[in-house]
Amino acid sequence: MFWVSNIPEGRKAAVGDEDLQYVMLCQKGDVEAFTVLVERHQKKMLNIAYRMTGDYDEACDVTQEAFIAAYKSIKSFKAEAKFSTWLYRIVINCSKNRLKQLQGKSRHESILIDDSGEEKIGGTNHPLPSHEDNPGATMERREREAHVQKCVNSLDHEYREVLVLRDIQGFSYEEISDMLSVPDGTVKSRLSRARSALKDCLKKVMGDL
Amino acid sequence: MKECKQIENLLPLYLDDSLSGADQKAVEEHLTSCSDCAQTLAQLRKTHSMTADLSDVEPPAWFKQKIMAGVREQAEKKTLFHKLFYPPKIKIPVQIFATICIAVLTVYIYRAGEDQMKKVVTSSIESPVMEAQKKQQPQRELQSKADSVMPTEEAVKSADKMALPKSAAPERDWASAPSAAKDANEQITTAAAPPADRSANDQVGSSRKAESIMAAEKMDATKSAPAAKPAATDEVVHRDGSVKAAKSVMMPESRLKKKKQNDVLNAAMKGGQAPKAQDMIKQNRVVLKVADLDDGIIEVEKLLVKYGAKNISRQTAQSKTTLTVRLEKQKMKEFTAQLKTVGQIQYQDALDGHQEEEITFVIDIVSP
Repeated sequence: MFWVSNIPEGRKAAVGDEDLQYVMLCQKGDVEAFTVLVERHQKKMLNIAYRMTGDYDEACDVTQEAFIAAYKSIKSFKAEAKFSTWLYRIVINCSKNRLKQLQGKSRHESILIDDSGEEKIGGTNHPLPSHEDNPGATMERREREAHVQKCVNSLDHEYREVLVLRDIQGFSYEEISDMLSVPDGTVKSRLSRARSALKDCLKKVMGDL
Repeated sequence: MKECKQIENLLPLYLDDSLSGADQKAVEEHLTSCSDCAQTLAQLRKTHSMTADLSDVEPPAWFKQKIMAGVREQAEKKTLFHKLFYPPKIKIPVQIFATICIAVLTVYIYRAGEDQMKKVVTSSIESPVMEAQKKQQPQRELQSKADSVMPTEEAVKSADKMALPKSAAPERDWASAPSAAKDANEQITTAAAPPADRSANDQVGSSRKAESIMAAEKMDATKSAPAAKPAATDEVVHRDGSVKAAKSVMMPESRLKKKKQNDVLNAAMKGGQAPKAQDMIKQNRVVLKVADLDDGIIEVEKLLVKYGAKNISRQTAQSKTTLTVRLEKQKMKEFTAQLKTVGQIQYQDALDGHQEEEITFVIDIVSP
């Protein structure tokens, strides 16, 4: 098939990205090709946004916004990194922008604790999957996750993003470095501080680890 | 051996073996002898396992469709933008050029329109009359044929038809005149033709005046409700040429003028140009017969310049030139007297009776 794209041939071979053929179709104006990319990356995008914002509904909005932004600027994608890396960079940036907006409006509450002591993340009943048959264990798990998310939300944005990408989503240092456009050493130092801060927060929230 | 504080800073990265070889070794050595740092590492491991163990959230139902709806909407916007401006190197210069062309054309049309409007103003005096005349010509032919065949009794009936519906109508209510009255009006338009007829026809005289008066009398028959019947009777009599002449002689002069104006107005009304017809009443007409058309025009124009005439516009036909001018009322009599030295004044409307200081009038210069 003959492709007309702004991605150099050499770059295509070097990257070996599975998304690349769909990206090139999108660059030629095929909107439906973008459906495949959405299907492949929607869950990861949503989870990054969710861990960044701490709110399920906000995360959905941010993810949609990020996909639309990605489509708008898909012609500027030059395959210098993997498409997924480029896409996740967009969702990280969208999440940070949303957090700034929410903080500016002073109406963002990351964790609400109701009178019964049960914690809800972002005030929404997000569809967390149940791994255990035991309702008690499920409840305990949900509570633990709420504590973790609360502590993640308490971190500064630059620490939060590296922690989410490395410890929660499991990206490599190189990928994180590409996504955030910061050197490898910076990623490591930020991550080190983020882990220490999270440990201190969890000790404070949960009593003892 | 490094201090605990330094080791604690390295511990978070020790978790996933991200430290350099030397730091890794130093941490391992320190951990064997420092229980506090070992406890901190245990806490860090626990934290790490808790974060790594966080459940993934699932996208809501129809999430992909919702995203794609937004994307498609965006794509349509993009397409519209592309249609308008893509490729910019070609389309933007073309659009700029087209805009300039439209602007230039608009200015040109506007300026050309001003000149044409002046011409229209002058020619509009004659246009309804000419139009009425054109309509009248075939009717005249038919009527002349009909006159020769039609018995007098039928003429009386048709005149009655014209007069009867008008009995309830107000005197000046022309717009609501029934079709029979319209027929009468069409006949009357011959009276509106005199200025045009005179210019085209050399035989201008008492017979023409008589015809116009006859038509005016017909108009009376259609308009005047109380006098409808007698007027209709007049109509029958007017079919005979000899009687027409007799009637015209009997008409008072002031009434003749009024009828003439009404006829002109009526002709204009038939052409759907009522406002113009009002203008026609105000304008005056002089028909000047000269031996040589070109010399006559030059002479008249000299006189116009001499008497300080304004807004002079000229319209030239085959054997006739029409000058529309505006002149001070005071100079009017003197100018008319001078005009007689240039040629023979064959027809002149009353130039007095105007309230304005300046009078707009039309000079038809004709040559044999």
